[in-house]
Parts: sequence; C-alpha cells; structure tokens
Amino acid sequence: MELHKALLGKTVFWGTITAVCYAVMFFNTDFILHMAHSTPSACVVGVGHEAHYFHKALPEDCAKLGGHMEPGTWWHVLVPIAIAFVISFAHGAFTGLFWEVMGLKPASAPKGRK
Amino acid sequence: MEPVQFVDLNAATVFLLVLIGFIGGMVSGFIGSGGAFVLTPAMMSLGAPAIVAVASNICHKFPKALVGAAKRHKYGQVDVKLGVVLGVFAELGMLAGKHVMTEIMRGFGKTGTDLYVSVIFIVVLAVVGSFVFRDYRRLRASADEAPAPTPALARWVHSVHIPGTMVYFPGAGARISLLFVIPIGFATGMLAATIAVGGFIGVPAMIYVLGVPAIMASATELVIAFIMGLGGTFLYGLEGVVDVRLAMLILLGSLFGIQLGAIGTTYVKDYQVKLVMAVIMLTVLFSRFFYIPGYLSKLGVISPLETGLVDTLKTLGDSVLAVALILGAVTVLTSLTRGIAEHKKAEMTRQVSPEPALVQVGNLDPMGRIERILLATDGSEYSAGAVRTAVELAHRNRARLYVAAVAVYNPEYASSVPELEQAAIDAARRNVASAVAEAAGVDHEVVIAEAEDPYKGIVEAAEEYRADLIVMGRRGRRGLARSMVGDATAKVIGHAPCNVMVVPRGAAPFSRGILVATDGSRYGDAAAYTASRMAISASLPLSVVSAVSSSHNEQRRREAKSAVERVKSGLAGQAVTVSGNVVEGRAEQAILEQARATQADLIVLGTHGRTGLDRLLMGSTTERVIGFADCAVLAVKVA
Repeated sequence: MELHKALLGKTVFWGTITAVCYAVMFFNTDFILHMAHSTPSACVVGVGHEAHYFHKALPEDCAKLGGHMEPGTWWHVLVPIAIAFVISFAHGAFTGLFWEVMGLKPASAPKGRK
Repeated sequence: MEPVQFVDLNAATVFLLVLIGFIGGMVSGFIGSGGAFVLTPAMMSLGAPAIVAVASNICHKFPKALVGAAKRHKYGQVDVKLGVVLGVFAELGMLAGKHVMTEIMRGFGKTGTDLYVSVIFIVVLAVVGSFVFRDYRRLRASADEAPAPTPALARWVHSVHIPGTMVYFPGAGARISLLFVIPIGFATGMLAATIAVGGFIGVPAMIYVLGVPAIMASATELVIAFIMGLGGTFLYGLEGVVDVRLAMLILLGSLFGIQLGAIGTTYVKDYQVKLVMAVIMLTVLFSRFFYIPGYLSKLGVISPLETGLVDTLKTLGDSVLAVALILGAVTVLTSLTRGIAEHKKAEMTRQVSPEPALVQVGNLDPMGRIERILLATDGSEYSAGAVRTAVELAHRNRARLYVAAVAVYNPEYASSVPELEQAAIDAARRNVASAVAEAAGVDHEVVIAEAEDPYKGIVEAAEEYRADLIVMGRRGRRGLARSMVGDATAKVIGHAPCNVMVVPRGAAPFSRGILVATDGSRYGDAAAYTASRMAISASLPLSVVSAVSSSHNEQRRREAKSAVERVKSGLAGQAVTVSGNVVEGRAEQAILEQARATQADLIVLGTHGRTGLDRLLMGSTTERVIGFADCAVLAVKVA
C-alpha cells in the first residue's frame, strides 16, 4: 500500500513535469518553428505564426515575395535536440510509472522453487 | 527556392499523431523493433514532406535510444567500445547512404528514390522476415533453449590476426580486426539512411560475424542508434527540416505504446512474439508491392498506367499497411488481456491453496511473531552475516525461511532478447546457492524475484510470501559514506510491509543481549514492544536507552525518563533482566555506545519507513545506526 502511494506521488510528479514541458513547447510554437527554419539561411515571408519560410532562396526572389532574407545560425539546431532530451527524460520516467500505477505489470511474480 | 512546410497542427492531427505513435510504439515494443517502418509513412500521409518525416522520426528516436542504452548499461549488457566504433562508422555509412539517395534523386527524381527505398525494403524485409519465421517454427517445435555456441563464422573472425588493426572488444570477448568491424558499421548506417531501420543489419552481424551474445548485441545496437540518431538530427537540423513538435507528439504516443507492448510480451510465449513479428514484416513487405507498378510506370520502365489505377494500387498498399498495424495492435492487446486474466486466475488458485502447517502457533501478536523470514541475499560476502542470522532465527523460531535473490531484469527488452531474463534468473540462482547450503537444517524455500530494481524484488517477494521479517546484509563502506546506508537497504526499509533486520557481514547471530532505543513516541513504543517479545522468547537481557541532547528542555528529559521506565515496568515479573538509561548526546552515538557498554548484539529501533525527502529530514538516526553498527539492527516498521 505504501509502495503504491509512493509510486502515485512519483507518477504525478513526473506527469506534471512532462505536461509542463509539452505546454511550454506548444505555447512557444512560433519560436520553435523560427529556430527550426533559421538554421540554414532562409527567406521569411510574413510574421509570427503567419510566417512562411523558403530555403535556398535568392535575395531577389525573396524580395519579389515581399519577404526578407535571414542569415542561418547553425547553433539553432541545438534547440530541437535539447527539447528532445528534456522531454524524453521526463516522459520516459512518467510512462514507466504510469503503467505500474494502472496495475499493469509484467508477468514476473516471484518464482518459488523448493 | 524551396518552401519548407511543416504539418499544420490542429486537434485532429495531434490526436492522429499520438495515436499512430501509440500503435507504432506498441507493435515495436512487442516485436522489438519496427517502429520506423510504421511511423515515417504515417507522418507522410498526414502531409509531412518525406524529408521532414524522416528527420522528425530520427529526432524522436535518439533520446529514446540513449535512455535505453543507459538502462542496459546498468545491467552490464553494453559493449560501449564496440558501440562507439560501430556508431562512428555507421555515421559515415549514413552520409554515404544519403549521398546515394541524392544521386538517385538527381538522376531519376523522387520516383527513383521511392522505387530504390521500396526495393531495399522488400529485400531486407523478405530476408529478415523469413529468418524470423524460421526462428518461430524452430522455437515452437522444440523446447530446447540451450545457449547457442559461438557461430562458426565468428570463430573464424576471432582467429584472423591482421597486425595494426586488432582491437579487444569485451562484448565479443576477443581481439577482432577493425577491418571486420568497419564494414558492419558502415552497412548499418547505409541501411538506416535508406529505410531508417539499421538494426536489421547491425544486430545479426554482431551476433553471427563478431560473436557477440544476442543480449549484448541488441543492447550495443542502442549505442549505435543513439550516435546515428544524434548525428542525423544534427545534419537534418542544419537543413532546417526537423519538426520537433511532430517528433515529440509521436514520442508521446510511442512511449506509452512501447511499454504496453513490452509488458505484453511477458504474457505470451516467445514463439508467439516471433510469429507476430514475421506476420507484420511480411505484410508490410506485401504492401510495398502495390506501389512498385506506379513507380515503374512513372520511370518509363513499363508502359504508362492510368492515374486511377496507380491511385487505387497505392490505396490498396496503404490499406494493407494499416491492416498490418491494426492486426499487430489487436494481437498485443488480446494477448495482454488474456494473459493478465490467466495470471490473476493462477494467483487466486495459489492464494487459496492451503499453506503447509509450518510452525506451531506461537503468540497471536503480529508485532512479535516471526513465522516467515525472508532472507535477501546477493551471494556476496556482504550477505554472509545476514545468512547466518536468518538461518539461526529460523531455527530458533521454527520459522519457514524464504531464501530470496533478485533477478535484476528489465521486461522492456523481453521481446528483443528473451535470453536476458534467463541470464538474470541463472545469476540469481547462483547467488542463493551458498545460502541454501547453509539453510539445509531448516524448513526453507528458494525465491527468485524478478524485478527491475533489487529493492522492488525484495519488497514484492516479502508481500507475496507474507514475510514477518526481512533479513538482509549491508554493503561495507568506509568513512563518510558509511554513515549513509546503501540505497537498496534504505528503500527496502522504506517500502517493506514488515520489519527489516540489517546484518553487517562479520556479525554473528545475536546471543548476548538486545538494546532498544525509544524516545517515547509511538515508533519508540513499537520498537520497545517488539524488543521485549524477542528478549522474552530468546531469554536475553534487554537494555533500554533514550537519548537527550543538551538543547532538549526539562519536559523532554522527563518524557525520555518515563519512556525508559514504561518499558521496564512493562517487563516486571517476566524472566528477563531489564536495565534502562537516559543518555546525553547525539542519538546515534548514544545508542551505539550503550550497545557496546551493555554488550548487546542486536539493536532495535522504530522507523516511520518514510522515503524520499521525508527520510532525509527525519529518518537519519535509524540510517546512521544501521550504517555504523557492528551488530545486527532491527528496524521495526510503524505505518
């Protein structure tokens, strides 16, 4: 019983952290998309969530579309990598506990042998 | 100029992505791999361009591989050196694979790469699928599970000596020329860049060419997958095509699914897993055939087909793929529910079966009764004292002794490496061997508990066998570290359903006296009660100690004194010598000094059994006494 209570506490803890991670990611969609698209140089047309990105664009083509050129920043690639690490760590801890709390355990009860 | 469009996420696409991740994860958890040949096409059908789908799939896989590799490294199953060498060359293989794809794209367009990918898919799935099917038939036909000897090819590879290229790989247990290792890494990377499932080459090659045991091969593959995945994400990220939202949504479903699938495998027979694996692989292969006429007609290899016919064929292919997935998902869920139902039924039967009459009914008091003792041993010298004490206690109380060892094993990998479980069980059986020999004179039973964490195995076994007492050893430590009890011991005390006796390796079974510490709280009272019952039944002198510090006020001192008096008066009239003292100083120091002074060789303490932060704040006395004592310490649990 005590084991179960402790498990439940841990599950809620990691579940909350996981949910917060996802919420932060989705509330910052524009930022994340901007980071993803601006690793190589890109032509940006529009702003915020209306923005469209074109890679391998020539400045004159970009100007025709009414956009502006943004130089690429290679280290923006680290953003999705960091997000993937953080979320999978929290989420991995959460799901393992989740099924255990739900009572789903592998069929590995102690085996007796005289 | 190329527009880069990520999938527009709305409620429906989010739901579908999580669902696809869940089903893909469940199937891959069940059969050990194969998420990739499900997830990438599914993302594409939701509107992600092929390159975004591939990149996002890789991005969701590498942290998963890292978590998996770290877990299995804990069990000593990863050959890091081999993994890194293969991973580095797999990275080069991936670059080459990408280059081939780009060249085909340049020469024949998108249809060319699609045809290339499909053909490789078909060839690989046909070869691997038929191997798995052969395995299934062999496993079903015979119950012989003897470990396979080193394959002949691997023996030859081990015997080849090419100066300047020889490296020792612990996983293979031999010096192997890098000239054999490099092509394997390269091919794994090339395959991963083409169909995203590099493990199809890497794992069998490690087993059959390098002579690495299957358990280690699949664990080492995770290192390769991590290195390739991280490199791949980096490269695709530089091109601006990694959609981390897509990757994380797939991960959301996949992590739930993969564990459900892995749990499912523990309820079915090994050959059933192999059958599902073979059926899914061959169905996916079958689905690819429907796309080929369309590609060939676009490339002009065959006469042009009508657009309607190509579309119909493509829909048919998609449907076959969907059927394969649903089939897999249904199989996993039915085997899981049926397995759980059967397992519960078996448990019920087990619980109602009459227990053998083991001991005479002693006292009826649950706090003083010792009828079932669970001895937790890891077979090391640190368990020696615990073994001696538990056997002696079982003898004295005519109790049944459960000699338990934990087979540390992660069920998550059951599907890919069934040998893991057997290896862990065999190791646990070896660990109990010496304890069993010592327990020859008492009524005993061997318990092999399977668990991911040793403490869980011990606690679950104690619950299952309704133990009244757990006896376990303590890892020897020096200096500062000695004040901290090992994590496993502390966790067992925290979670155990009964009292726990911790015995240092050199300690003899207690025979001189018992010391109990009480502060007058209900924890102290419970400890005093248990200690009194034990002193009476073993006819040993009992000393009671209560510690006060200089900061304690007068009322606290009075309470300490009355706590000692309470125990003494409670034992008046019994054939037991009782002495009591209130001692000034730090609690653990006072207890240990008093134990030495009274020559007590068992210390009894009450514990609230909290864990985590609570334990850190409140349970330090018990922990320090256990850490420093030279004799056995009994932690009396109070809920």
